[in-house]
Amino acid sequence: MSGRIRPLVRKEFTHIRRDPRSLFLAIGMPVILLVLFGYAITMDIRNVAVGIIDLDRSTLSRDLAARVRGSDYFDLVYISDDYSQAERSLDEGRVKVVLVIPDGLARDAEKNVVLPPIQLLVDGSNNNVALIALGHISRLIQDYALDVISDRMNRGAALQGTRLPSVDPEIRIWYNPELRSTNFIVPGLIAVIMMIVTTLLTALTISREWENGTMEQLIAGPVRPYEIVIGKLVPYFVLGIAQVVLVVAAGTLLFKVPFTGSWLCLFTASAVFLFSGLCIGLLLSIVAKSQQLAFMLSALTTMLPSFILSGFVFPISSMPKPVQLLTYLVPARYFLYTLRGLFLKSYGFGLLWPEIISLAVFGGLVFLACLRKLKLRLD
Amino acid sequence: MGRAIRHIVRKEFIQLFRDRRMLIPVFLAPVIQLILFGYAANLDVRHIALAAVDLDRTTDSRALVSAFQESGYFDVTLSLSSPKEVDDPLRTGKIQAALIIGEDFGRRIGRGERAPVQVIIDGADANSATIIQNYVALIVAKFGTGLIARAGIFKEGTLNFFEPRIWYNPELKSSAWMVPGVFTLILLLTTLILTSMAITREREMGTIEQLIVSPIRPVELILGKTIPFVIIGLCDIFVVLAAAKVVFNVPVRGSFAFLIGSSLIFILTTLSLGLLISTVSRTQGQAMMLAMFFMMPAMLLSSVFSSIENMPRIIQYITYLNPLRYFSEIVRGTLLKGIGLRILWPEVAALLVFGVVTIVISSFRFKKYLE
Repeated sequence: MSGRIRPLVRKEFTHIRRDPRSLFLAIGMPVILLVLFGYAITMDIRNVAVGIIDLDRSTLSRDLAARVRGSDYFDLVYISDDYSQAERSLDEGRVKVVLVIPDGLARDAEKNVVLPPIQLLVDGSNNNVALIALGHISRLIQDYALDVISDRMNRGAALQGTRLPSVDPEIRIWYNPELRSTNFIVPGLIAVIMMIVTTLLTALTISREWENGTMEQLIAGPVRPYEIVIGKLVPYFVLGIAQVVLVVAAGTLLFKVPFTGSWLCLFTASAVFLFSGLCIGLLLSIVAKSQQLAFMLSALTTMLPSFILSGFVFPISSMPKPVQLLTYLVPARYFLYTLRGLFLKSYGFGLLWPEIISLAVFGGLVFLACLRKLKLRLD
Repeated sequence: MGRAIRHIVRKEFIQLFRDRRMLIPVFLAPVIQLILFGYAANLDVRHIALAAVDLDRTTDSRALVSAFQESGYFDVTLSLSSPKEVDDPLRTGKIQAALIIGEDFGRRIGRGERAPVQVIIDGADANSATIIQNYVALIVAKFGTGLIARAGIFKEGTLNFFEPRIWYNPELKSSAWMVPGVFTLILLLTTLILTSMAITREREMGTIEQLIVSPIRPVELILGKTIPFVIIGLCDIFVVLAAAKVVFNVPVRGSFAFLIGSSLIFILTTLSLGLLISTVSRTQGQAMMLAMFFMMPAMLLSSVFSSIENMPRIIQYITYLNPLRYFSEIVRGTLLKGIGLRILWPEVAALLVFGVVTIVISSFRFKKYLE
């Protein structure tokens, strides 16, 4: 058996070597993409562009503007006393939030101790940015208002001596104390990129043979389907391992993402993951007769699903139930969970075995499907 | 000239759909993807599993715990008696956050002092952690206002410090932002993948020689090769937009004609980019790799997954080379804000420049390639 697989493997390696451009793209792409995206994608929402319409023009309103300017979360784009500017700047997208400080702010504070409400216009089109910006700005305004009130109370005779109770939340972040989104993004990116690349590696292998007519020669020979499938898998598995080593090295060295888990576990999980990814590509390649259809199918089944359904940025627990069930069909989901656990939370086999087993079962099933489909074709 | 083009167009259609299964990825998949990802692409964090460690056990501390529960964001799933017990469930992911209320919480509030509470959040998912942090702050701030109001110093309703008004997407629906984004991604994928192999295949199979020796002029060949995909792309635009409207009720506040017009410019750009890839690649495998190499950055460096303003400067400059950046700006602006050419002209101009440049380069390459 191994006697017949070996020449098949050698033949596939020769194919890979003969096309150095594709080989370079296959090896270089994951690292280049990781570096590019690792720097580019941050989920931090800072520097939200803010505009202030100051209708009061008092020391008090200028004090509020100064607080906005001093905040890390906001980027003060303009202060104006022309209300029409608010709509224009929101439409143009120059600002995401406009604070309208009402006329009479200082007067009310002096007379009634309490402040009139400050109007906030928020661009809600990106609901996530809007919600976070709203949270920061409302805290800022509340702090400001309470400071103004206590200041007045300390000076005014009527309420002197009364103290305002308050709750002080002290928030601690574990496992990723600086909330560096690279620590979160990089392990996820490795999983997503590897998913896409491994499937593509094998996606064209058999459809190419069909298109070129070389498949007939293979059929005419004494090779069995499982020998063809294994012969196709082995070379790309080797290539895939090289890619994993490169991207993990890039992730830890370049982005300084701490690796706290077990290396053996990483190796096992990667091997099982590569196996299932390569099998998916192979299956698509067997099913599709043309390379064009194979590419189309593999892009559809891997690209968007591994970005959107793996938990890479969108939390799976917030998805509707039927969609959550679908995510179990996305191998990147298991690998992503494994990588985040290994990188950030020092997980080992004890916690990760369900993921690894699921991947193995998934890969095994796809492998069997490959054999079945190939046999049907050969008949 | 017209007849030659017509024949090539017909040939392309026959070739593409000879395998009937091709109809599925070309027409059905975009709709399924839009619906599926429209539901899935959602950054909201709900049902955050929270452990409560209440060492105070007073009315005030219990009120704070129920303020978390009632906020709708947190589910108090665990009640612990010591802060030390937080470690294990947090690490295994059984809870995402823990609220620890110290022993003198109620007493401090009674005396009108600052009463600290501790909140521990799992930071491994940095994005959810940021959002959870924000919810915590909002809930605690509201609780604090309630305490002041209870103290009876101020009249009811006077502690309303701000009054938010949300524009463009008043219910803050995630789908309003994500569905237009997913629409742009699907359009990019479908059009680019189809064309990126179109010519490489003819070359691999040797049929390109036949086309070269035939009396068809290069211009006719280019047009004949592109027109079918323009037609397919247009169908996809209508089908996917209809799905967005029907399933997610995404508003169309701006001009529909403007939206279709700019979508057409966009697909012309991606199609000619696909043709360019197709002419520079020797094998279909290379064409596929090159297409991926363009699509992945284009997808991730548009504003669909993360906002461009928060990327490092250098990468922000790179995004100016990304046609998807302009297109998603146009689509969201038209759908959600109802703005048109008057405000979006820089984006349309950029897209137009990008389109014309790629069309010129790819036809030039193509002509050279044929000669």
